[in-house]
Amino acid sequence: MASLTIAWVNGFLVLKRAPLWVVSYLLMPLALLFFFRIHGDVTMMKMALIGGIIMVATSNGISILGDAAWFRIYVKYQDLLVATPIKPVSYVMGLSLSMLVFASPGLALFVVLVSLAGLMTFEFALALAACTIAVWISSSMMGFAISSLFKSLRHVWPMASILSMVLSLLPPIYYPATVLPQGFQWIGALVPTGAAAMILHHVAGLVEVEATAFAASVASLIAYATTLPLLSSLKVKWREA
Amino acid sequence: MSAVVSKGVWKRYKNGVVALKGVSFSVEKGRLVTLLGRNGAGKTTWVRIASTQLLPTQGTVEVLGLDVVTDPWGVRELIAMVPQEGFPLDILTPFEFVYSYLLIRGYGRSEAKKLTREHLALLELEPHAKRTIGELSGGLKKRVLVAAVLASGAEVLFLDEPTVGLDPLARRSVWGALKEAKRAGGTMLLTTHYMDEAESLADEVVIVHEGRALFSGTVEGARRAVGHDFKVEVYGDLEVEGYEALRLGGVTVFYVDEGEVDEVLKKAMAKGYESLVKPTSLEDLFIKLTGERIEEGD
Repeated sequence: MASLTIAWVNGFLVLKRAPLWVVSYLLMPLALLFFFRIHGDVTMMKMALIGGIIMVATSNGISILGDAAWFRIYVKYQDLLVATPIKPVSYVMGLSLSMLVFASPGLALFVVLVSLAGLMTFEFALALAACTIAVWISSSMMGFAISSLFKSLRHVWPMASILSMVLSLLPPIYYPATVLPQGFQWIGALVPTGAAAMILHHVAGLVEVEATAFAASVASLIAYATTLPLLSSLKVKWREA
Repeated sequence: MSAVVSKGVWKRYKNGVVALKGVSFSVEKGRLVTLLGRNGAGKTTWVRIASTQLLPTQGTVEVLGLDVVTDPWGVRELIAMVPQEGFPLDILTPFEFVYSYLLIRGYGRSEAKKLTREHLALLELEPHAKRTIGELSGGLKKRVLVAAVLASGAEVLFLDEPTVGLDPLARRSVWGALKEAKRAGGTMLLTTHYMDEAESLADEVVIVHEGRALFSGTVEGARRAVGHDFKVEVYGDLEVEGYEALRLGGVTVFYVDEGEVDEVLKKAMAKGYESLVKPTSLEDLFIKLTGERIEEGD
């Protein structure tokens, strides 16, 4: 209940009163989609659609970095909540859910576009749901853990956009993993966004990913989605030494 | 029964700063106690330890018999806290902020709504209940925080400078709400550097200075501890044989009893200095203990 309340407060109500945030998160993936539609082939455009979903989930998830730091350093909302029975895990989950609430309009738009592009088979829908959830969990938990390292908001703000861009553009999301040297496609699975993209590209039949790279992607995504929440709950500064 | 017991609490931060140097005092259930001291005296550090946000280096704090270090989850069920320099979330309305805080604390929706309405009314926030907090003045924002914490019904409330930045009327509105909560049986620890706040609200005062609790007792006890009924403030440098004088800036302060007032006044007039005679107050104990006025730290 506490997590849902935080998601309502920091997700739904903020989304309702400051909808421009949704536009800001959608600008980059839509711009890339436009670019690939003009200059790329159909496969590239489909990659940009999958990339859009990953980028929306990642940029929203990682933006927990700013919210968590704002609550801890500036408005002292975390201090207010420490002196209550709420568990730190519920707090982190609540913030993370609020990021998903924020991502939901963008995700919905891209899911519609993916369907219109004819990618939405049953198998792909399952993979898409699993990968999106895993990317959202991984990026939001990574963001929360990193936010706990900062003492000043000034350093937090640029970090969210740097991480968002690095995680969304550097791995093989908007390009095929086959660009990577043969036998080394697994490198793309080193970050959760790259792992998710390789799985989705493969399931959609856009890229023939190497078997080892596919297995590495599945393993990587599961590992990130399970260990990063643990790391976040350890890093949450519920009581300082 | 003691609601809060602090025994020999020390805090040394990683940067070497020693914020608390063996703070000991206790608070009886149902009492409102103010921790009075200048900025940097160690009040916030103590409150953060007592409200389970910070670990002490040494010593213990117990809240209703539970140790804040070994049983923080037990303590968190019993307390609520207004953080120093805390703000309610600006995109919410006061109603949403208080209501969501109560839901997070585990209240059901109907009970949370009822308590929210009651406490917004208590803090005179009803006319602003539907505006977003970002549109409110700093004073109103602070009152939203206080409303949330009072509405929690927690047995022990920690309020870290809840009236800083409020205008006199808004401060009185908060005082009224705190008095109301006290009447309902709540135990409150409030930090402040406002003398009038401590004198108006507190059952007891703990004077904190440079990490030490120099005095703990009632406001009346603090006045008695000064040792004299009156003080004479002389606006100039004056010495009167047989009387101890304190120099605070350009003012010389004499603590005297009724029969001694005239003698000091005559000496001051002979030198052409203006003088003021006042009954001794809590501030005088602070001055006697620390050698400083509390306002100098602001």
